[in-house]
Amino acid sequence: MEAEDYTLPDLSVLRLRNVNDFVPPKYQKHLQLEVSYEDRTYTLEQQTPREVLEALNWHLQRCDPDIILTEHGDASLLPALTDAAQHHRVPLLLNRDQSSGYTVTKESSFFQYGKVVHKDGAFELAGRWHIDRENSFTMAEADLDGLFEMVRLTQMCGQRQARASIGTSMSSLQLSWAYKHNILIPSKKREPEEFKSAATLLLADRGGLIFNPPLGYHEDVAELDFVSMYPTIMVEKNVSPETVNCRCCPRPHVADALVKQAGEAVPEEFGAGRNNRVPELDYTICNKREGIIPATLRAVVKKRAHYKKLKKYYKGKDEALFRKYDHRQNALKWMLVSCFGYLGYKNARFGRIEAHESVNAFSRDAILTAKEIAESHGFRMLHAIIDCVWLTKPGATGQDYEQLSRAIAEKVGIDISLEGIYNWILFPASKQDPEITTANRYVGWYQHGDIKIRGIEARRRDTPKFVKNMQAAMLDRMGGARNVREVKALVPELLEIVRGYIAILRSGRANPMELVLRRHITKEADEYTNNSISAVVSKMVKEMGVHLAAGEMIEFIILDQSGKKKPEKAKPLALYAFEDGYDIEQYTEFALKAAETLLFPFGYDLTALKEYLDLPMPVRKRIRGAQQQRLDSAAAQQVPLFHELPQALVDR
Amino acid sequence: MHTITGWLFDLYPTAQGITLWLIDTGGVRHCCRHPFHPSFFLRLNDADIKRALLLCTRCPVPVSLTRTTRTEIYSGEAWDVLQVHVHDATRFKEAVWYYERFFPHFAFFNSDLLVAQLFLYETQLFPLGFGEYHVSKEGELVGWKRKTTRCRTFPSCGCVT
Repeated sequence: MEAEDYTLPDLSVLRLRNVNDFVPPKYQKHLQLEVSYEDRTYTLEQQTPREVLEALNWHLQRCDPDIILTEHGDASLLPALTDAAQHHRVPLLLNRDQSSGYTVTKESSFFQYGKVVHKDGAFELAGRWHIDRENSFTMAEADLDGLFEMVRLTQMCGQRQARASIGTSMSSLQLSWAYKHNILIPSKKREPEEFKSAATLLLADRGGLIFNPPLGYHEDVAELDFVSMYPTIMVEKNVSPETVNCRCCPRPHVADALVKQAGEAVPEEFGAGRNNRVPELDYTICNKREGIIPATLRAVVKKRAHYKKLKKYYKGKDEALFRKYDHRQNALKWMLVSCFGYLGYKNARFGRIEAHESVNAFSRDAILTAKEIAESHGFRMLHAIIDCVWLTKPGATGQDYEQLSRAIAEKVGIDISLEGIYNWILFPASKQDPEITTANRYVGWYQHGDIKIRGIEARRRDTPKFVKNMQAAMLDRMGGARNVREVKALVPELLEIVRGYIAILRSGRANPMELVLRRHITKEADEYTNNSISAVVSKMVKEMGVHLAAGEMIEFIILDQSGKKKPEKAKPLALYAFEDGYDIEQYTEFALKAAETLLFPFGYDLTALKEYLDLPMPVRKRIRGAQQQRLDSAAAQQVPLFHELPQALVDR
Repeated sequence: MHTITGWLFDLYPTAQGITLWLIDTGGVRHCCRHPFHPSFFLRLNDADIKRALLLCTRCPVPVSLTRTTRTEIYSGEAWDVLQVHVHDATRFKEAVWYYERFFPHFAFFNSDLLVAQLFLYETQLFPLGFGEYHVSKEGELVGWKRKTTRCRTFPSCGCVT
């Protein structure tokens, strides 16, 4: 299972979906099936449900699929099919093993990272795999190639793996290792957090290091990323729940006291240098045995590096192999991304908060060391976030950054690679406070022609497609600029792009399908006590006869955000008719905010944009002063880059 | 007995153990069984061990008990534990629930894992793993050998498949 190159059987796949994909099957009342296999697609257009089921059976028998790939199969499609089969007394041939039943689990809603998340139940078959594309993280990120890789690695059955979270997959890897080494697997986590003084907590209870970037556009900035920083720390430093502050070795302060007392006569295991020490913290890491986390992660790190190498090797030579290895490395990537967080997760079977804190301490140490080395080489650090640094030095070339990377990697012990040099990069103002930036929102064009977008509207899932398209068009135009001065010269053109999109919106001709908003509901329809859009939409969905659990997604179009003209405020996509129209002012506001993200450093905030575009201004006198302050502050921060103030400010 | 050269595809628990589906190199699908008895562990004092032995006779699920030694992860110590073998793989959870009525949760180990996964951990087999699977005339999986070959793309990397 740790093999990096392997052959697989020729698996037959049957794709099964509802024909009408305008709305999810949960909203549909009738069976309208489409079956695809061996490069052919069949629409089951029989008159009665019985005939549809019989036709499906015919295709199942003919194709004899190993994998049935569905969309929403867990939540609605297969339950609806089996209900219909029972009602019409047509035995369905979904199982290859007809002597077995289906394995069905319940849906669940839970709280995760401050959000209510919904997970559909599972509908599993015997003798063949049912995989619901809409209920599989692995499929969404890495397709079947990634799923096959994970199945082999984690030793989980295909259907289970497809629906498993990354944490569960990682757990399985650890459980297998524990089983192999005759280690008892506790049914519940039982290693409580150690007692800590307030001083220790202040030191230990911290995350990775973040340096907030300066607001605005910057040029000739390079981004350097530590390669798999956290997994590498865990593997190389042997960070694991049983190795951090292990019971077999003394804590640093005890060891130091013993060394001081005994002088040279101190036994080797009590020697100050015996164990790895965690920077800043009074924690040690056992050197006598390898921990379960590094032991299981090592293979994943190695495999991913190998797949990345293969992916690079086949790029441009063989597209199918390139994709296969890309999917495989992507599946493993998520495991490496999550492994650190999982270490501190309260329910992780082999998790421990002290191990989590140790990894953070090592990472802070690494990034500070990188900063010091960079500064000693004459670079200025603009921004840093946990395992990435953004550096600048006038006239520095790619070669200079490569040289710096080698120096950092040598000192820190973790590889760091040059992601690229930006022609320009924007760190936009925070939506809450225009004085500051946020660490995870930026956009920039690399010299090698790629764009990197993080956290702004074009990348966010809660932005309507129309607004995304507008911002993407602006960014596309900005791709031609080689420095900040050239970006600034493009501002009039960018404003015209905004004008064009706003004109479509305000004429009422925007495609409503591009105005759809998606939101996860935090409670069930009956539990809402307010009249928010989520409450209104989920109640309308319930009236349609569709039950939505907390954490499920609603899709809607805003008709009147204020609710003054149209009390329903918004309509679910499944009920929407083109004559319903949309809330022009609200969507204009969305579009202007997306434009503001890119144009604010040039003095164009919402008010300035509205003035420029001759849009109606709300009467809000008190806000005026605050807005002026924001613009002044933005302009002041951008001053070193320009010799004159933005025109919008001068005019005022 | 015959040998199937191919891949393990699917598996799930049945009353007789585990049902496995194999796909051979010619693309033919084969079904076979393995008489797997999943087990969990209890760490108990002497008095509770006697109780557990007595409870075994009254358990609604057929179980048998053996004494064995396993390692505790944090201390690295070897612990004497009682291994409870469940003779109907589909009723593994039921057997655990039965004992949970009498002993505290911290006495239980390996008790909340899925039977199919326990089988895979025990045998170190894995789905889509290539090998030779030996199946008796009665359709029982009696042995296996995982097959490995060297990586073709980068022979120097030393990995196997």
